[in-house]
Amino acid sequence: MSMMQRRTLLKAGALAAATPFASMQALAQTTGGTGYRALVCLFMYGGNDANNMLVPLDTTRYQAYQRGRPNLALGQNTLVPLGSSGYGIHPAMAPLKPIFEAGQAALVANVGPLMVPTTRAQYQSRSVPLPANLYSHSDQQGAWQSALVDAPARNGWGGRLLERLVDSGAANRGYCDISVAGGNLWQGGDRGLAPYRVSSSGDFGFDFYDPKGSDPLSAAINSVLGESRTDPFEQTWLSMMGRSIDNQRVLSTALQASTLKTAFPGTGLGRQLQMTARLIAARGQLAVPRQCYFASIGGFDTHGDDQMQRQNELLGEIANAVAAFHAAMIELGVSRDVTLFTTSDFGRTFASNGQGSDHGWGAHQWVLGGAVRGGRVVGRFPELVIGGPDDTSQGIWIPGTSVDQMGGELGRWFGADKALLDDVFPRLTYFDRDIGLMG
Amino acid sequence: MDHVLAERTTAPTAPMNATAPTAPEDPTAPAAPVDAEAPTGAALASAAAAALVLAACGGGGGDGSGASGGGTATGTSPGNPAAPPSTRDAARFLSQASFGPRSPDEVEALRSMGYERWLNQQFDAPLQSHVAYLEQERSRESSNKVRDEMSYEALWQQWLFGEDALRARMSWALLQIFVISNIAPDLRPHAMSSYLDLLNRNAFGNYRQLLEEVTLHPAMGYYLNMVESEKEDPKKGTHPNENYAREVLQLFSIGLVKLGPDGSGQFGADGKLAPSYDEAVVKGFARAFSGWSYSGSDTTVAKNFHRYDANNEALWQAPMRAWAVYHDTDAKTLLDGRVLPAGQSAERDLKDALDTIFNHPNVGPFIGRQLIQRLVTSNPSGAYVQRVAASFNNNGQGVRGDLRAVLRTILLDPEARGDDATSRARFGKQREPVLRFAHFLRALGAKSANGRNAIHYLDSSDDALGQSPLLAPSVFNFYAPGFRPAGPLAAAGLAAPEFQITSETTVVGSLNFFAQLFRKGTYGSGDSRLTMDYAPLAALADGNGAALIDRLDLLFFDQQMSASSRARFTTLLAAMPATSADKRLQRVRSALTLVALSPDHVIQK
Repeated sequence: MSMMQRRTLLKAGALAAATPFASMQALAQTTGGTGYRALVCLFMYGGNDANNMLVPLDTTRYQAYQRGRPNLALGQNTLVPLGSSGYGIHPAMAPLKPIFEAGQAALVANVGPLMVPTTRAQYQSRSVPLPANLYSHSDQQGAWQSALVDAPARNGWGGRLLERLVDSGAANRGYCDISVAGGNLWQGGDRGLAPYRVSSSGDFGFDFYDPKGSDPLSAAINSVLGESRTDPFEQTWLSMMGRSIDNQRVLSTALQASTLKTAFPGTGLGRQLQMTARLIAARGQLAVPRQCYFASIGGFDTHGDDQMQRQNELLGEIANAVAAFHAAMIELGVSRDVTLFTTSDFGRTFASNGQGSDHGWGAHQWVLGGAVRGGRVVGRFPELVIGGPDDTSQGIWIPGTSVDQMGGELGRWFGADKALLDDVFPRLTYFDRDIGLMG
Repeated sequence: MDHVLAERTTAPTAPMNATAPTAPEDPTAPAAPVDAEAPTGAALASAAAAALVLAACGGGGGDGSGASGGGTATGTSPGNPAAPPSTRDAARFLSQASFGPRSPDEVEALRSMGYERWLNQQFDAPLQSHVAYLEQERSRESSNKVRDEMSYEALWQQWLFGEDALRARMSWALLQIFVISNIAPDLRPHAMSSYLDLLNRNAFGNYRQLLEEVTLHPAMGYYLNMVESEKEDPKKGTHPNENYAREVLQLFSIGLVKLGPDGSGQFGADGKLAPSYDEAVVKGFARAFSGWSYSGSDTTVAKNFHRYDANNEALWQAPMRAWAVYHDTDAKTLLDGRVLPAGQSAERDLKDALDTIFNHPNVGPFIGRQLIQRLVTSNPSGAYVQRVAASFNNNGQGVRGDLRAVLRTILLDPEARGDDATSRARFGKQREPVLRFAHFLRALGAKSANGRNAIHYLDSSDDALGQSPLLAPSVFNFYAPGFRPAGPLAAAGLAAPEFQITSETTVVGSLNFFAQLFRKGTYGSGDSRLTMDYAPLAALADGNGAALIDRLDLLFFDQQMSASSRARFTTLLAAMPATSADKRLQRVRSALTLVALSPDHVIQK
């Protein structure tokens, strides 16, 4: 789409905003789903050591946990029990306990990229295909975000879902895809959709430029924006400037009408999720029927002896920000329409390297929102035994549930039918589609 | 570092240690620069011939704007290095090898000197110590303490005022490959500055020596956890730390995929890209690298391995030392079946492990391609990569790894030189935000009262550049070498790494940053405040502004300003009559702001 075409659409969006609900209804009818729905991906960059995020509480399995990683094990009495699930969570995540126990959040156990269901024997004999470049940060981030595990991934399953669910002619369609945390693969489509990156501060504009201004510099900038260049590097720079101005024009207005009472923590992730909540509150202004949001927090690559302290801080930042986000969704009356899930590069070795832990594979993830079949640990928890049935070596767990299965259930809830899911998740056909995650 | 993270409101995806930001389009691409569309040698030769033809016609190319550039494109003959380069090509050279042209005099001096002499002069330029800057600054503090900010200032002192611009560019390129970062875990100022000294010392040296010094530097040891890594301990259930072993292979030397001499990915019998190594190799290297800790204590005393004073500044500057008791002495399998025999010392294992990496055929194309990307172009042809890799493999005197030879080949290659760059479809790169900033400050003669600077945190994407030296989000740097932004670049199969930190937010943040810089004419505060000298530009800002535009073209567009940009500058200045000294200054400020956002400035050709 050329820049001028996009501008026209944005203008149409501004008109549609005058009658937001009518246009949302109309859009909903064209997309196969009803009402508004949003997926929020919270990426934990670096590879979260989920072995310490969710721990079995029964004596036998807790002792196996404690024996397996003596210098990394959390004390049994510090773990926060989750209802009658038999599991406890990291103490820093205590703010999520009431949400889980109210049935509004679940944990998916030992989930990760897979080509096909894989056993230890199959892994060891390489008798089944395996995802490319396991244990590499960049590649496994790509595998999680793309759900394309056997080729260099160039787009993500969030972006692909949106391209197929939101009419390509819809007003403000670009704003179905918003990142409050910079670039990522998950939101990129295979048909050209790219997320708008939005600052969590809410600063949108060029302070030296007035789009309607007639001063010489603003006029010159308008002339730059109206240009198209044959050089692809130069054109990409111009497009990004144009999209920055889109944010200035569209979001500044939309957010003016967005009010939110829920208080958020003043952390990096708190601000990201607060901006996400404010944008969701402005959904009527933007009039898009489906949205994907991307937030992130880094620092999980805990090879060193600061793992315990670092993870304590990071998981605490997540729990506080996510709990506030959940409260905000309830305040807005959309908790059933918004689902937040966590992901990370990979899990980490159950065995310690003497300081922290090294790169692993399967890990546990949170899924949270009113539509989740919550209060449960979904999927099979790995046996915490080096050399056990789930281990490759050093306590690198072979996932019991695939990214496609978790993403597939989220996609189904998002409005995708079976054919569409098969298109977006090409490996889903090798797995059981129903893991009982979403209602 | 928390204040930095707090400022970062749109974190460039992965704001912490050894944590890769995902390349939205191509997370694996660093390892697979498959370049099927690269021009062939024949196409290159004809491009060079075309350059000569154009030059013979009086210069120009691209948008046909060259003729109005005020320069004399007398023709660069790649085949005849003795011929004086054109003004345009000399300006281009300074953007590639320095921080961009500072003045017409500098460009003319380069033309009369020639590239070879300029390079030799740069290879011999005096070396300024970053650690010495820390010591100098410490003495000014009442506390006598060093601060993180001093390490950033030391780097900007070199960039802005050093006489060794090429070394500064090379060290900066190397810092983006052998990444350390103060974005968690916190690094001490002496760790950062002595690491910068290491890179400066080896920038024109040999890759093998560089690799060893990097491996044993305590800043890297701490950043990627090789320090204090113990051999396997079955009783404790622990294994040697794998972090450095993995990243030295994936990022610092050979990459994930087997490469041909032209940097193209090699395919295995299964039709898939052939991996360079597997998990067992990573574990082999992790064991080979076990047993190293901070220097300064008796290495025959086991408990000293984990006993040190992190406040001891000397500890952060001296190479790590080996403790035999913590070194794994079993045999190790390394790359391509190379086995280290059992019973070797930690020192011998390290030497053999690094030799094994150094001699892998991937290193030349893998490192060479990234250096080309940092200096010249994002999508070098396979032939260009191959020529650079050949220089790496043999500098002409049988020496492998000579970075001087590599740099010479990168900068003097026919694909880097010439007057026709704007007409080469796949050629060019985005100028990095921090390099644009340095370029403006240098070309506008920025100086402070005390001769120092106060440039510290530029990484906020809200009100700064989204990029700050020594503050990369992770060991995966600010961007991946193979990143492809959506749109026309992806459609053309072109990589554009710098666009990974170019977003709706960083464009706003960086352009507001530059507009404010030009509005104020200064950066920073106090005696370290840098003040730019607008007088030379203001003196040209009379009348229709043509003289000012010509100067901007030379300084900031390498004399390749497009016709449409020239028309836009003319219109801008026409709407701002130069009726007073103040009005002339306003013309300069607005014109500079327009420079900062012009696509033909932002994209280096």
